Amino acid sequence: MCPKGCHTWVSEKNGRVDIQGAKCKKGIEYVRNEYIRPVRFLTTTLAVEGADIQRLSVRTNGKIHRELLIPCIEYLKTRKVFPPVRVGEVIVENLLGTGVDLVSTNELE
Amino acid sequence: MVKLDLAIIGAGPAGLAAAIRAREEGIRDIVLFDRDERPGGILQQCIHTGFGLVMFKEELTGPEYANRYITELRSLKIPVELDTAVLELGKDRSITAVSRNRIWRCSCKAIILAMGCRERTRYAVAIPGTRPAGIFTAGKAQRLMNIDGYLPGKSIVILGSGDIGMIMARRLTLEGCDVKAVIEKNPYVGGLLRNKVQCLDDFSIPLFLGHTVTEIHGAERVENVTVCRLDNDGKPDETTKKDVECDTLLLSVGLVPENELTRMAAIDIDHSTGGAFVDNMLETETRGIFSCGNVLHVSDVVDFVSLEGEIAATGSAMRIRGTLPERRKWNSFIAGRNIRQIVPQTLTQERETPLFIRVCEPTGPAKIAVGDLVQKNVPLSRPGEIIDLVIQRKTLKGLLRTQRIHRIEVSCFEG
Repeated sequence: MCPKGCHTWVSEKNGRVDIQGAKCKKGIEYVRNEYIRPVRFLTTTLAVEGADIQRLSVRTNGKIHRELLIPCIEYLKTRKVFPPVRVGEVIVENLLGTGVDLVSTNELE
Repeated sequence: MVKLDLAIIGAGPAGLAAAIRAREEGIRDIVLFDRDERPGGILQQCIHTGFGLVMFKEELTGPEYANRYITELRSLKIPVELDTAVLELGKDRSITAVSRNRIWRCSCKAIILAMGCRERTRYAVAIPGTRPAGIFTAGKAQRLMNIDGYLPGKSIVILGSGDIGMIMARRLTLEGCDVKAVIEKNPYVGGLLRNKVQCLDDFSIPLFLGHTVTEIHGAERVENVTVCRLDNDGKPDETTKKDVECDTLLLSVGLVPENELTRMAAIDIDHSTGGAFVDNMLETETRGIFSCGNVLHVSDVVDFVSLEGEIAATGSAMRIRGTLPERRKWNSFIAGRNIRQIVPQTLTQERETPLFIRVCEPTGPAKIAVGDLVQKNVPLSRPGEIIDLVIQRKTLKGLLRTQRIHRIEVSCFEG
């Protein structure tokens, strides 16, 4: 089932993955990823020191493998941020070697 | 008494989009009121992605989506009165608002209602049992976690499979909590399918469809809840009951448009949506008062909320300038087969009109027909997902230029 609502079928023959039912290119790509190795954006909050706001919301700027979500969050529990931070500012480069950066989604003054 | 061209109540996604559009339409004298300390409304606590797919063709988080509008608002120098609660709304387009150091009494040429919605509570769904600590609505728990930095509990049961409930199931799991179950009384998921996949299935969180919580136990803190399967009449089947140990119960059992001010101004409310009756410019039956976003009807994606804000702002600007035609004929949309709600409810203006429709029961492939004006084929329809379609302006020409008042039936035909 693709998020857009198309019912899809996946078959594999000699290492070739065949997808039926998806009605758009994005859907085919999504189903292929879901079948081989699902990827997700990571979003969470970080502890803030030195501002009125308690938590800063953050995200990865690309998708990471689903099984890496929990290890990344566990690592981020040890991190703190300090003002000022702008929207989109990189907080952690190459998060745990995933190749994507952790960026701020809010501002901190 | 302050004289204003346009007052907007609520600086969430609907109010922000409305303010920007109204300024773009040339309205100078605008004030945006919000009772929170920051603009953005509920988006501030929705730190997950999935916002903006329609508006920006990007997958943004809630704060990022809000910040796009807030940045624009600041550059246009539109005043936002924060920490300011609107207490009274009059049919004569008057407003009373209070902040820490000021009382506002305003007389406005137009008002846009953008107050959003509120969560239903334990008392709205009447769950018997004791009254211990540890019972939260899902959105309250979301605010505690994402803004205030508190974890609401450690072992969690979630009642209701609305979007916020499912998103909190994932959020709590990622933070190391044990989410025991999501319990839904209907035989289908309440929220979006993508949320079921990415929030529940991804983390193997058990989902019990056709079940409910019949009792809450615990003296100081929640200790366990009784879960029952529902029989075909929707009554709990006592033979299936079992206790699930947990210290926290989250409720994701629906949202209600927050229309206390609307009622105060004696503006008619549609019982199917819980919001005001509006025409296709989103103007209520009271001339000059418009309604948009979740206070009009609860949407499942924010992009529609912003879109409605823009329509209401265009209408307000035309009202203020006196260019919006007076409404003489109230053509109405009627809910036909398998249709629960339609927004807008009436059709008075000759303009391109987006319609937002919800079905009563889920279907497979279906055809949504709006009288003989327009129809749309959908691969499936579900009560939890709004179906949007657009009536072109040219289609309305013939309809609006005759003397007759039309009743347009909207239906969903399966197959």
